[in-house]
Amino acid sequence: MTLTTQDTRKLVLAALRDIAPELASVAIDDHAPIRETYDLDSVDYLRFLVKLHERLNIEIPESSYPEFNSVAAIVNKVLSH
Amino acid sequence: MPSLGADLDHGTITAWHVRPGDHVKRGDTVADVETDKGTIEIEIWQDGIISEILVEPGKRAQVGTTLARFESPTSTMRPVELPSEPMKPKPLEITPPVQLDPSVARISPLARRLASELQVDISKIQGTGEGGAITKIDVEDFVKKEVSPDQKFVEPTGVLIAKPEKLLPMHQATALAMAKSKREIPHYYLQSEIMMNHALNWLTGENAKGPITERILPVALTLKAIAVGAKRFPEVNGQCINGTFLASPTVNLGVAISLRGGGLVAPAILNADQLTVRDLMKNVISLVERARSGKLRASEVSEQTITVTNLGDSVVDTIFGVIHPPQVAIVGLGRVIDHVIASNGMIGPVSVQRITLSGDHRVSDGHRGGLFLAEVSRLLQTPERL
Repeated sequence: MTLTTQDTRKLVLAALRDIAPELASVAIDDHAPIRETYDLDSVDYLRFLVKLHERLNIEIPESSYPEFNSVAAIVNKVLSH
Repeated sequence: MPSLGADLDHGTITAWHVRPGDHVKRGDTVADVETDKGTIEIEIWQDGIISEILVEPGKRAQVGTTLARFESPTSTMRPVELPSEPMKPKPLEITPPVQLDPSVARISPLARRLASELQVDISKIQGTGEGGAITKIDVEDFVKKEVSPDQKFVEPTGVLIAKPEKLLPMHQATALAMAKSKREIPHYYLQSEIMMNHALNWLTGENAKGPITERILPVALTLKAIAVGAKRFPEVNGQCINGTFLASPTVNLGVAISLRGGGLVAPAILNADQLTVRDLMKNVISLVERARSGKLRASEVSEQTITVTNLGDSVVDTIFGVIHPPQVAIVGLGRVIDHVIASNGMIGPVSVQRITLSGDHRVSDGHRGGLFLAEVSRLLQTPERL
């Protein structure tokens, strides 16, 4: 099942909001550096990526972390898998 | 009501998970308790059958109050205020704080200390605890009423604290604990740099072998090394109870976790030195999730024997922590920095992490503290053995 960009974005935002519940009613900046802007430390970031891995069925090797640094970048990576 | 942490003398039952007649096993969560620092789960310490619930949800109870009765085949008594593990006492000469006349009013030890520090006449306070006893909340409420809205609340030592009602209960609890720590514990401070190349390279290799769900963060290695080091240096691992230092036979490693939206808790990973690095990592993730969703256990918030405060994900190079009473040491971790060093006539890149120790100078000193840090550093040079 291939997801649309919109659906993918929704899932990514849902995963982010699971980790950072205070963002539930905050408009997310798709191009902002996700860790710094939304205060995700290494444990938060790992939990976030694990959720993406589980819900979107993608592999995320540690070496590819720099490519997962904003919502827009993540959506692109997921769609081009 | 078990101990809920050093500065909490009461909690409010919010829910019971058992009823009279239920069988319980050791470790089962039997109730949820709301405190100034969030919700804590109470576990039962042995198997048995619940016979009677004595404190209903919505009711506040002091630490030490009997909450329920249960029958157990072995029927051993377990006093709730004492630590669960036997500790070896190391007597220490410390002048006890000035005691108020105990015949004046029934008052909890914590409330008495607070009243003494704030120079409050306890005979003027109405107690709301069991039997009219004065609790910490009673002292705080009394002080708030005494201060007019235009006055700032000034602590006797001259330290200005924002109006108490402006601080959330959790922040108040932290503020009071940190102020007490700096008042009562003579801190000394050590800093050291740990070469992290071996550890980080080894970790990259290990993580590449497995799925993301098994990934280990560098902090897990450092926590393991700190736990093992603490086991070997008892003077940094234990609790000061009533002026006496009790070295702990277990290492219950407190991990400072910031709560999203503000606030700090530092619950313990119990027996951290005995866990594999992998299990330690799982415990860290579990603690972070449960700290943020208010599902910490009573043992995790009251049995810490040493704490680590980690700013490894920030821009901070070095952090010197404030010891969390009744502990006697806190380790600080800064970010990993890439340096170039000269060694043996050659120049090379290294990754270093600044590790600090803030120690209680009544219990340890710079020499022993330095040996502890050296041990932690040494352990991180052979990460595969952690």
